[in-house]
Amino acid sequence: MTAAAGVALVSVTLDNDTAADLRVRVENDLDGPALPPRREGVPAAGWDGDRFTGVVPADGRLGVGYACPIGAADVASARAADQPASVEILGPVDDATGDASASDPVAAAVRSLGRATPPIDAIPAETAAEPEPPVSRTEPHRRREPTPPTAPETSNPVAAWLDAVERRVQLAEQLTDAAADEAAAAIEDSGGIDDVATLPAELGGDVGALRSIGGRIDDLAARAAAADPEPVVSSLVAAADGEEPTERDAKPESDAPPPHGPTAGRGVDRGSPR
Amino acid sequence: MIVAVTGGKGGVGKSTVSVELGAALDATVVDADLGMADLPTGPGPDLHDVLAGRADPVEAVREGCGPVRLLPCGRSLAGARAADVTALDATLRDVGAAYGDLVVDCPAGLKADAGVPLAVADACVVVASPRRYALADAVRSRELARELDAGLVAAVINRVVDGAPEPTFEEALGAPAVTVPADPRVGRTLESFRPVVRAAPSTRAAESLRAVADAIRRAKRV
Repeated sequence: MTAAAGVALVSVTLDNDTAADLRVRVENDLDGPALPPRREGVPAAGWDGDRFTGVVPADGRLGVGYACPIGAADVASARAADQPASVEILGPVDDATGDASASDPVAAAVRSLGRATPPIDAIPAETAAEPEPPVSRTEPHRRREPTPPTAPETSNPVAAWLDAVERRVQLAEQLTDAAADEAAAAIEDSGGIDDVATLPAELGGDVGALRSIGGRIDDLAARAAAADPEPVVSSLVAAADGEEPTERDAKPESDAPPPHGPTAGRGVDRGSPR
Repeated sequence: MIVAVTGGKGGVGKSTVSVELGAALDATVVDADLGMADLPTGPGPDLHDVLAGRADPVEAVREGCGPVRLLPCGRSLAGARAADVTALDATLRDVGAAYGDLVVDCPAGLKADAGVPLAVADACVVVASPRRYALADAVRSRELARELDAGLVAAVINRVVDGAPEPTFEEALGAPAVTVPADPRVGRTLESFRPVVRAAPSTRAAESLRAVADAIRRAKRV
């Protein structure tokens, strides 16, 4: 076993000097979850949670390895432990038990064939949560200069929330398919395993919230771009006090408070499936 | 029983044959083409939501919206990315437990999204076009199905104009080949969502598709 930066890397070599194939079970005894090697996001054949079950061929050997996040403080005690994993011999292979890798054909298919998910870069940000065509296509759309894409008037709580989400996404990206030492470094940078433990759940909430809000933002942006109050407002202002229109009236929608209530029922919000 | 409708190429008529077989067998059709779905969909949860853990599989099945019960699939790339194909196993078993027989419309290609339905299915039907190159694709699909333990019930040679090399297909695939003649009504099955086995049951195309359905029924009894 080697340990670095709060992660133990356990390797087990099993030698079989008998003339029969032997089924073995390797179980993690360290104080943390066993992270098995993965291919296409699916644990290697034989892994089930903290346990590996496999076959050591007759007069042959089998190597098993996994990582286990144990926390930086526990590294010394984990090093002192002489048995990071326990090995149990389940007996010779018989036809009834078969090969462990054949037990889950779906996992085997994903491992061998590879996932066909589209890469994240292929997903346009503005339609990530939006399968319907843009709303502006079905509405009368006056020609007008496009609204600048920057949003300097984003208020502080929104910016702070987005910054927090960005940090979580960044950490999640670092941990995605990360090797053990990269993961350990990322976890250490972010303040320890306890802070990271809730990351998957928080990330799930972030995805839902971002998609739901993204749909509302798209909707509002399309409505803001389609609305053109400037001629009416400037003529009203001119009629009211005989002055020329001020610059403030040029972009009234950016000063307006966000409208509450239903967003015109265009089916844009896909945050909740039902 | 879960029947996968597969075939290496896109555009050979897998989705059309799926809907026809769904109607002929009174089975539930699942559009498992996660990246490029083409069976009708509508408001409500779809297979993307189910495979992303956002919806219950049984609740996503559309009943009474057309001639066949349908579990549609979403169209967005984001949905395709969020969907976990390994959850398809439990999804199909849940829907099968609630609704009985399933016909699964598989995507083209040889990636996991095409392989997992075959790994879950009890049997499969390979759809091919009557072109010379189609036999090679059909053989590749059969090999994948064999590797993943989905027995080949029949090969459908779709949109045949003047005679198809049925014996060649049967010899190469080791399964009966059924010719579906080119018929504009079959071509409109998806568009109008009216399968010919219901709308035009006396046509030769409908007879052929019923023959495939009968072969599936026989395979189910074995």
